[in-house]
Amino acid sequence: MDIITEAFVGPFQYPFMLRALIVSVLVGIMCPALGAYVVVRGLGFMGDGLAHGVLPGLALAVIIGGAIGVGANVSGLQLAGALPAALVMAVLSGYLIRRVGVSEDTSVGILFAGLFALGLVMLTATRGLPVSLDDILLGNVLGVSQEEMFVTLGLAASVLLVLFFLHKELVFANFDPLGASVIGLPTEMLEYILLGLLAVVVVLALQAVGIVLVISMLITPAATASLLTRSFPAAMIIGAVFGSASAIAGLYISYHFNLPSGPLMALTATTFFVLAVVYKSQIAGRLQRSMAT
Amino acid sequence: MQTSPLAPAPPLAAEELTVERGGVRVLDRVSFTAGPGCLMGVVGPNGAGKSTLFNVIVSLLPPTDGQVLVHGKSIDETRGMVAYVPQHERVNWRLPMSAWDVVLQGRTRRVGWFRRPRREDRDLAEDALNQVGMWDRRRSLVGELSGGQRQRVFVARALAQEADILLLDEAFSGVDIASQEELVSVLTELRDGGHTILMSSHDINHLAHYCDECLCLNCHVCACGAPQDVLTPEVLTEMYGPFGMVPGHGHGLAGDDHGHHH
Repeated sequence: MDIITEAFVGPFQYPFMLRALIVSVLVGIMCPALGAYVVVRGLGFMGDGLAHGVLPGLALAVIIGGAIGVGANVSGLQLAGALPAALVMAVLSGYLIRRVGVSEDTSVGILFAGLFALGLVMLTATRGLPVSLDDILLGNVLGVSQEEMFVTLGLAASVLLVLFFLHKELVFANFDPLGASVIGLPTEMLEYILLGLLAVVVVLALQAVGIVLVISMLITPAATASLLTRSFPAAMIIGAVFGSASAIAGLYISYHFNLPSGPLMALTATTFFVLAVVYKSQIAGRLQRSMAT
Repeated sequence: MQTSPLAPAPPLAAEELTVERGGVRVLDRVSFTAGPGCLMGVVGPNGAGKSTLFNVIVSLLPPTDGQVLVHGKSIDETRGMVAYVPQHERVNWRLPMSAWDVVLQGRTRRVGWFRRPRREDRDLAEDALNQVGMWDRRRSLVGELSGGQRQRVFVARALAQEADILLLDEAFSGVDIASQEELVSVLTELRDGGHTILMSSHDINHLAHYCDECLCLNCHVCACGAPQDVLTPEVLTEMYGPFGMVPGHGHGLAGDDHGHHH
């Protein structure tokens, strides 16, 4: 094998690298597809809050896993702990906003901080944890098990199917909620569906980039795409291209330079965004001017 | 209000509508009827309950008491016959939508869940855009259109919905005078075609000039009828207080109104 081929194919002779690649690309596709809504609705803080708010769920899973002696294989329990936690937080914040009348950022802020603190207390109060706090906060995609990969595949496919089949309804309800209600769409249910999807996507993204950097996969590629196109469906697709490219590039750089993969994926996504801003402010303007003359 | 048993029920009738919010009566026994082919202006000061009335009519808000009848039936039975043009600030303009996308939204109910618009839906959307004179701008993002063009696109959405009752809340906010004329000419055309149109504005001067009937609202109905009949100094005082001034206009309204009706 020549050196170039080796650089590209080499990492994936290890099954754990292949699993990492598959999970990262799935995260890179579905985060921006949903992220397009997150960006136009300004739900970034909500997404970030959900990611932090799942910590008690993760902690509970880790503690139970330790107690029943699953040991190092505990990572399989993390999805099972995080997903209900995220859904509970999504429903709770929806309830606070709609029924109690707390503003969106306040409700997220309260739940975000309260739940994250609870998770930290739970984790530090338990001795002899089989998993490090770093892995939870920064992600450890190289440690993804085969079961987790299949669960991710199934959930990612479900998220994309919901986004596809409810596209017309979700777009209407997010563009003009009153008009959508008047025509008879159940806008409250559609809002909960969107928050539910956000919860699922955030939890799956935890594996790749960790709690702290979920937001980078959720909004950065989607925001990059929205700079480059004026069509909402196109923004979802172009975002998915940037997202998966960031995931793949991050994984390669991580492998070859022995650096953590999550932060590298986030950095790559940020680099794409910066390039898009430069393109938009410099090149696109110049092209328009040259066409105008 | 009186209709003989043989005459068809009016397109829109409000009967003793009362809405209370936090112990305050926002609407107090509001009754009126709007016939077919009627352009009705709903005027009143800010806080007079215009938006609340519209929200009740489209059943976004349940009334505390009273009811709305659409062609003699309850609003839940006739959902889809009433269309709503939202206030500018209620729409999320960050979501990029072309005029064409917005008009197709009017077909959402007919298309049904999970499905894409069919040929017939696209034809109706095309007709609707042509009717409001916006077909050439169908690819433009609605967020980048002028206020009047934007309102016409939402009117086209109502047409694509095949609604015969159309509500425009603060119809002229953000619409300059020149495009007001275009919007109104579209609306009068629809009125002539038999549509029932309610438009609200806090700017009574413009509205009174355009509409066939005027519903003067200040939590209760102060008067309802042809503008020249109902816009008397007494009614204006009841709506806007003893000074008879309209916000943003430095002169008495009654005098200004004279100038409009020769």
